[in-house]
Amino acid sequence: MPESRARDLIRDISIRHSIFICFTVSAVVASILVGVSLYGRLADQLARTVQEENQVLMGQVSQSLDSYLRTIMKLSDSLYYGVIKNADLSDGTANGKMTLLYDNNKDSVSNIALLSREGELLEAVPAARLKSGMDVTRETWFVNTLERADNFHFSMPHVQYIFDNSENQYRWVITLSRSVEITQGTATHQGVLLVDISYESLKQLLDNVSLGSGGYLYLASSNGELIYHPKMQLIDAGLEKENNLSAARRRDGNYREKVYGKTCDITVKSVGYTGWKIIGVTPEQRFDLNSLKTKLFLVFVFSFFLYLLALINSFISAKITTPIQKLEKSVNALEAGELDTEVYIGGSYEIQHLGRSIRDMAERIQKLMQDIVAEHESKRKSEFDTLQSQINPHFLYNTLDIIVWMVENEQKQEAVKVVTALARFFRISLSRGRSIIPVRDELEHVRSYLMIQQMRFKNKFTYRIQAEPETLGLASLKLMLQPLVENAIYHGMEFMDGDGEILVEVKLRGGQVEFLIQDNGLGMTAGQVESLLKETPHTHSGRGSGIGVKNVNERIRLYFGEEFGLFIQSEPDEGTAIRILLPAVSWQQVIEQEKK
Amino acid sequence: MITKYEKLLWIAYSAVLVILFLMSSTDLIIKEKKQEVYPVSVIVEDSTDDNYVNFRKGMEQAAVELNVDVSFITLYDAGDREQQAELALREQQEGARALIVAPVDPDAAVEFLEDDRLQVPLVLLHSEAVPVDDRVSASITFDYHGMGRELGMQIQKEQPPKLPVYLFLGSGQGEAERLFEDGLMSVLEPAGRETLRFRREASGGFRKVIESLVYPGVQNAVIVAMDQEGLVETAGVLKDSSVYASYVSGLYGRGTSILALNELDRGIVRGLCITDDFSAGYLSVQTAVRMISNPYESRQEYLVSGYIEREDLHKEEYEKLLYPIG
Repeated sequence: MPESRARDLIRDISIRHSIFICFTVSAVVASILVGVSLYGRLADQLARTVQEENQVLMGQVSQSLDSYLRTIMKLSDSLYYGVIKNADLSDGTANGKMTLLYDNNKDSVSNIALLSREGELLEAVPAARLKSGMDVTRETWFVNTLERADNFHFSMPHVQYIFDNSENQYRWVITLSRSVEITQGTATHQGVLLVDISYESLKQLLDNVSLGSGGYLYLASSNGELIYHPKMQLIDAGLEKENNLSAARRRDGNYREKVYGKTCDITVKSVGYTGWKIIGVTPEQRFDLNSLKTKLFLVFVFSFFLYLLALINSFISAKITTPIQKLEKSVNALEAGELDTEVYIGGSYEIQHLGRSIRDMAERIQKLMQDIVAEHESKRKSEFDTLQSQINPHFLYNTLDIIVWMVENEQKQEAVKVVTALARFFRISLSRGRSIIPVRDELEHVRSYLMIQQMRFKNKFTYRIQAEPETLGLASLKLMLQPLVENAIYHGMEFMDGDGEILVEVKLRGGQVEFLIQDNGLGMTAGQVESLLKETPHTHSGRGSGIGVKNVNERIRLYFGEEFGLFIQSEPDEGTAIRILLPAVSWQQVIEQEKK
Repeated sequence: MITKYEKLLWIAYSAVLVILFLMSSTDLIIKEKKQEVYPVSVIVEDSTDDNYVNFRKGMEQAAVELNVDVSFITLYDAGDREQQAELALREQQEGARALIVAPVDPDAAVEFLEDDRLQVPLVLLHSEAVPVDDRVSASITFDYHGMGRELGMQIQKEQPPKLPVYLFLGSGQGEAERLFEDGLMSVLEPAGRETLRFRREASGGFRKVIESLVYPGVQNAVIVAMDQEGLVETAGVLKDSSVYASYVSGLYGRGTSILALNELDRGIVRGLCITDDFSAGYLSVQTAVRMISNPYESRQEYLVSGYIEREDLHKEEYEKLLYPIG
């Protein structure tokens, strides 16, 4: 059911809405595609830019760190080549030089110490002594330094604990150690030069670097052990996690990887001599436009774009469909029969063409209808004319027979009367072919007819014709009264026992002419009256003029309109009264109009 | 040719656009979330912060990360319950949105929880949070009982069974100390080890106890300092006199202060029960902030603790725990 309702809804949708919906949907789909593709492109671009910036930043940090470490290594070189090598430590001058170098670098250096191969502390700046019982020769860094004498050795961050520390504090350091040649008197021995890099200074160097909101960097050894991390302590306690082991295995470059459930962009940069790696981490969501306001702004932009599209589409669809709607209105009017309606012609070429075609079609229909009406009218007219011109041959034969009878019985005067009446009858019947004649002529015509019929029926009925003088010049329909009088004679009088009376009366009634044809004959039932107006074939007696009552009624309505016509009142054995209503129009006026 | 219905639609759409614009581009409807500063007060049971050095480091890191303004408050008189309660109320009145309290004793913890005047979230340190009248609270603590048990087992393993164990108690007995003692006694007592309890009444009190080992009779003993102050004091006595040290078969204690660690490094302290105070500080502030945002969030956290001896001191696994990088 809902499917069919939806189908109905789609079927009933207007052309304007169809165009509007189709345009808008197409535009929205296109916009979404373009938007998604642009968003992806821009997000990628942004991510790439951030990565590039991170790479640059990491490069700078790497350079700074490298420079920092090189400074320490140069310090170590200065200590070795400028102070220790070829110098006799026993004369005490070395300590002064070491102190000088320490003072110049004490922001980044915690301790400088020279140890003999046996682990004896030969010099220390600032002054310090080894912890009692401390055997540095067992320390890993010491062993490694002596084993690989040519290298600098950087330890992992650790608390420096080899010196006796009476202070209530501890220091995190990264120990740089190298193997050195120590001259004592005439003998030279291998020893270890130790420079403790202050972890705090390294931390300060890296703490100030920010990779945007949520981004950070850390420093790891080549095997992934953390050297510096902003959350180093928390990672060690297990409160935070870092992907340092896998990140440190990577070559320099940018990578995207999941770090404990979060997708991050990782930038790896190696630090010169040490093999340490600076690793920058930028969480992916920092690239996204994910704040509520940004999301709403995107929705607003999209909605505004849609709004503009809808406005434009509405304008276009209205532009296309308004002429169609106007044309549809014209067609509806034509469909309702208003063929005179002006058909709208406008809009695009096709609509204009369609409008013109419909207008031409309406004009043709109108012409054809007029032709049909005219043809019909002409046909009726010719039919009436034919009817009017017809004189029942029987009526003519009977009349001539009466005349013959009268001449044989030498009733010359009577015969002359009949012939004169017949002549008058025919003259008015012709009336120069006109359908409309004056009331006077119509009364004269009926009088002639009644006179002939009275003689024929040997005065079996009497008649009276009365007319108000002002009605005589008014227009009447030709042969309008004769068929009615004929009816009164043949159906009302012929079989009557007593004397029949026929009254023909013409009066003016409120701007209308009223003709009354009244007889006192046999009268009619309601059914007969009805059939009289229908003029069924059985009503023809074959003796009348052949022009039926119905015919008279139709002719009146045809000429004068539907409100005029014939009204019958009849009662069996009482007689019949027929009233004819015509407009009170001057005959002369009608003739002039016909001429026009 | 636009119908009334269509006009209404256009008007509604325009109104939605205006609202969207106001929401997305102005502060009229949606206000930009400002970086909120959370004032949090930490009130400890002690009169100094000597035992809270590592704790403060963790606390400060959390404060920087979570935008917290932390006030660290010590008592004028260590272990003064009333003073601590007054300070808590004062801090609340002065705008603290959460309190982190190390209660003077277990009763004080319950009093804090029952105090209707305290309306801000409460994070208890070194004390288990007991739900009182549906009051939501959190606690950050260590398994002190387990720590005591572990130390007891070490003593049993390392020390001759006939040696008595002297327990040097602090001047007041906090919840942590009580649990630690219970744990220790749960091992020593069943083993038939003689234990003697000494409470620090006044300065120099423990020295007299150690002296009593030498005079009048001669006796060896194992000493367990139940708090850091007692440990450092005892270590100082033993460091000053090699005679006393020879009568003390082993000095054990609890704590991670640098003084205690130095004494362990020097070999004066034999073994030390340690706690991850840095994490405790970090988590207590983090929990306080969470409870400010969501007052119904409860948390009960037991942190890492352990037992170390001198050779463990610079092992990688303990180094950062004992010497946090601050």
